[in-house]
Amino acid sequence: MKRNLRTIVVTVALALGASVLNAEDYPAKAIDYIIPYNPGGESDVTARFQEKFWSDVTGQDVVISYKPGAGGATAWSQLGGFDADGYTIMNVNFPHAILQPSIKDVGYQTEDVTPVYVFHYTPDAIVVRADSPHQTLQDVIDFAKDNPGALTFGGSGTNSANHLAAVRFGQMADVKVTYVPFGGSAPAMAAVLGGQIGAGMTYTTQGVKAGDQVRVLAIATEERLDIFPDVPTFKELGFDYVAGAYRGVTVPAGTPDDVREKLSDVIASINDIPAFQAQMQENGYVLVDVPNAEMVDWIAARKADYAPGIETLKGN
Amino acid sequence: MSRMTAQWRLILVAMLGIGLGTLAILQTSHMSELGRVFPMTASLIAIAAGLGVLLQALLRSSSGVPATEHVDYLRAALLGAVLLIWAASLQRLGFELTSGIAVVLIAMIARRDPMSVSSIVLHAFAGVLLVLGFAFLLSEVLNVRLP
Amino acid sequence: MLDALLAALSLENLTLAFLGVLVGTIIGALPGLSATMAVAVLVPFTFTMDPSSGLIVLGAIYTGAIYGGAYSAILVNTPGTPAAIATAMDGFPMAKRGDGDLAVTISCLGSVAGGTIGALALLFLAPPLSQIALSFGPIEYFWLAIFGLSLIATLSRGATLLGLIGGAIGLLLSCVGSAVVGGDVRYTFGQTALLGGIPVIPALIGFYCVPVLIEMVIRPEAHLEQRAERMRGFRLIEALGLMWRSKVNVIRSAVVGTAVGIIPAAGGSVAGLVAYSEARRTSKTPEEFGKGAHDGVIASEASNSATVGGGFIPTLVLGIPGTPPDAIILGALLVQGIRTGPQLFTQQADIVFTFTFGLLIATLLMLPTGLIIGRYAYRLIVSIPKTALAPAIAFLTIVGSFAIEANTFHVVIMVTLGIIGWLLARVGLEASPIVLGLILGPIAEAGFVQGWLIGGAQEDRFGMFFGQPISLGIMAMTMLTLMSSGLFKRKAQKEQPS
Repeated sequence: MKRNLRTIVVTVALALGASVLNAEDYPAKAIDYIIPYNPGGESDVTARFQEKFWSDVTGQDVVISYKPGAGGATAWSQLGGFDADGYTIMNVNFPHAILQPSIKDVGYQTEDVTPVYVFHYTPDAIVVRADSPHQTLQDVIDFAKDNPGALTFGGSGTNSANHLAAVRFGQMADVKVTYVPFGGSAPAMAAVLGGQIGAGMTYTTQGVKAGDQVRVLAIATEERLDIFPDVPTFKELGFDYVAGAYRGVTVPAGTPDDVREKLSDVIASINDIPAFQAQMQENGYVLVDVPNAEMVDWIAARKADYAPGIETLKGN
Repeated sequence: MSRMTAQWRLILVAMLGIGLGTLAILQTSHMSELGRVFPMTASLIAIAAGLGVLLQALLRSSSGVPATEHVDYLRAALLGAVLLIWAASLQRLGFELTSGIAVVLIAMIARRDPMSVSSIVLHAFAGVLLVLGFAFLLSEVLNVRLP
Repeated sequence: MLDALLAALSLENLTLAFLGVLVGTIIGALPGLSATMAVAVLVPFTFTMDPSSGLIVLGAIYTGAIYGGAYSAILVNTPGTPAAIATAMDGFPMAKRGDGDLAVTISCLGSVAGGTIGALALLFLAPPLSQIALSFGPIEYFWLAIFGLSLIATLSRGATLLGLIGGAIGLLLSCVGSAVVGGDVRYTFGQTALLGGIPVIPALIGFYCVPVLIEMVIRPEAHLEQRAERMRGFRLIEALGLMWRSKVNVIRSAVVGTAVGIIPAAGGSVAGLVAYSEARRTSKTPEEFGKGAHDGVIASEASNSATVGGGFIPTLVLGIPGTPPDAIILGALLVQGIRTGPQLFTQQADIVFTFTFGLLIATLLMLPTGLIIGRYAYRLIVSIPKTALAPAIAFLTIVGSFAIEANTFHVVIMVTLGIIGWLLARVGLEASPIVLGLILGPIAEAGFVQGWLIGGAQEDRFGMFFGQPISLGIMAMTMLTLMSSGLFKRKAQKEQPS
């Protein structure tokens, strides 16, 4: 109920002309934070982690709501319809926001999504069930070489980060695998645990959640993670592959620059909080810091990185 | 068409099934092989069942389903129109205004006997309470942003 | 375990459980305001609480909201949540003929019984039962959805062909949008707003509630028949007698609900439908189903409430949410720093057990709360004039379809489908087959596409679809259901997968 009181106080203050919403005071009221996916997934969980520290940093609340559909496209295609005042912000995922518009008409272009900050990524990981015969990534590659197409990789969605990862893995290792899309990371992991599919092309976070029921064979980070001290990176295994689902916060395209900078600073400050960092890392996320100023170049670099994989997906 | 015989009704349904199924099949041409399976199956079911219904209607003059009774189509059409306009103008005219007008209109459509002044006042009070109560519940408690 | 029980019985936790059930029941009773939403809104408030207290609130709200859906299902034929679809099938006919009070009371008793059995399963059998979640792969989902669809034959009472047309319309509606599995963009006609597909809850509200609303307005007689001599209390004794006679049904439905709850991605709607179908098949008077059979209401409510406890099993043991509200609660657990997985039951057992006892207590608190709210809800609906009832229900349909995602386009979809639904009902196509197609279609299709891909990789598609023990079991049940409906011959063509 304290939120109601606060809203009333803010409204009254506004009515009295005591404060005008401008970039100086931003944020002067609660911010709506839209998650383009169902609750409980990585986008939701990381936003909830931020929520916990949000009011400490800004003095204001953040209100999380969900607009799931079409792998995020439903929400991103509506982004332009919100007020560009910085009080409606949205979670955005890469490669999704680059992949989707380049493969199908999904109602938005990558340029319509203008993130102010990219705060972490969930590294790709290949996991198998604990009793799987595949002990190492090399076992998986050998099996796939001997039995073209017989190895099934389960992942979340079609034309998604996992799908792209499966395609890129096939290209790197020069093997033919069958990608099986599921309605999310959780059902894909259920199929890995249940043994219906051979391996999961998923994220480190799923490896954390499943604990010792699974074996993580390789992760797509620069260096090993503290939570998986024994799991090699793709780099160590000879593949120049660092990837995952990058998540950022976006605002509608017309938002003024000073508001964008402020918001960018807010998220940067949350990224600097040790307790936040610890919570993210324990669950398998890797923090990155791409502020507003560097965003255009960063997206261009990602586009170039994804281009070959996207061409293959288009051909499917 | 306030009254319809059971036979005509079945023919209408049959046409609907066959027509919809055919349209849906025509649309599958641009779909991938796996994506086409379900729409195709559903369309074929619709067409097959539609043909079956057509046969039933032609062979048996009365199929045991009684003819539809007289219907007050005017009230139905008015209500449908109010609901549609309400839904379509929600974004532009805002939640409280559209709801207020629509609630009054629907009460008028549903009305059959003349109402006393006290009952009108009571209705108006309940209506205002309902709309404002929900506006509060949604925007303040459930954090839904109203248009 | 005793410590945990005492912790759950602390004054603070009891109060939280009671408030949770109360708020949950009211939210669940309003169509469109779902358990998922109620839980999501309250998550931030639980951050400041002790982890087990926070979990108890969320669990209590969830339980209450699943039950609350029964009111709108019974009193206005609108399942507030997909879980209550089967409740409406018999609950509304009961209310229509003047037995709404009895229907509300047996739905409450059924929910409490089912919820208790689900919670006990969570308390005592969680780790072994979680294996059920893993034994269900794509093929099993496919056949389970087909089993659910076979209910169309039994539902459509002598007009199977009409039911099939309705089911096909529902399946086609479910194809609209961009397919998560396969990525095809289908039947959007260039409308980007349709990319996300037909939203299920607005469609439910449209198909079930708008026709009731239109009928209410065009007919002079009262919405629900009112029997003056029957307006006496809860009819609790009568309801208890019915429950006792249906004890096998109660237990079977609760077991079905628990099991289906454990299977991720199936959820309350499937549980309710499967339990309903089984109750009908084993009933001595199957012809009464759909016309106000007590056993239909009991089966649906006992099973959907049991999915709450069942759904927490894979959520806590495997880290795989059993239902959408479980997914949010799983997120809240992570934020609280609780790591799910088999080790949760050994390392942080106190939290799990306190929570489970809290859930059990919340379920029991649902009895007084549900009966009292139900009684007033029924009296309200029966006694207020149509000039007030019709606008109020119309308002609720608009609010409910809007609130889910704060999307006015959903309201337009709701009204459009509602009017189409009413027109279709006038020519003999009822809502239930369409809704079954809409809800079960995606489960069947995802299972089919995944099974096809996996079977292709293993070069054994036939064995994939027809050679798995659980699938064969579900197929056998489907056959039994179809045969008992007496329509086996006509339905045979539909059972072959493409």
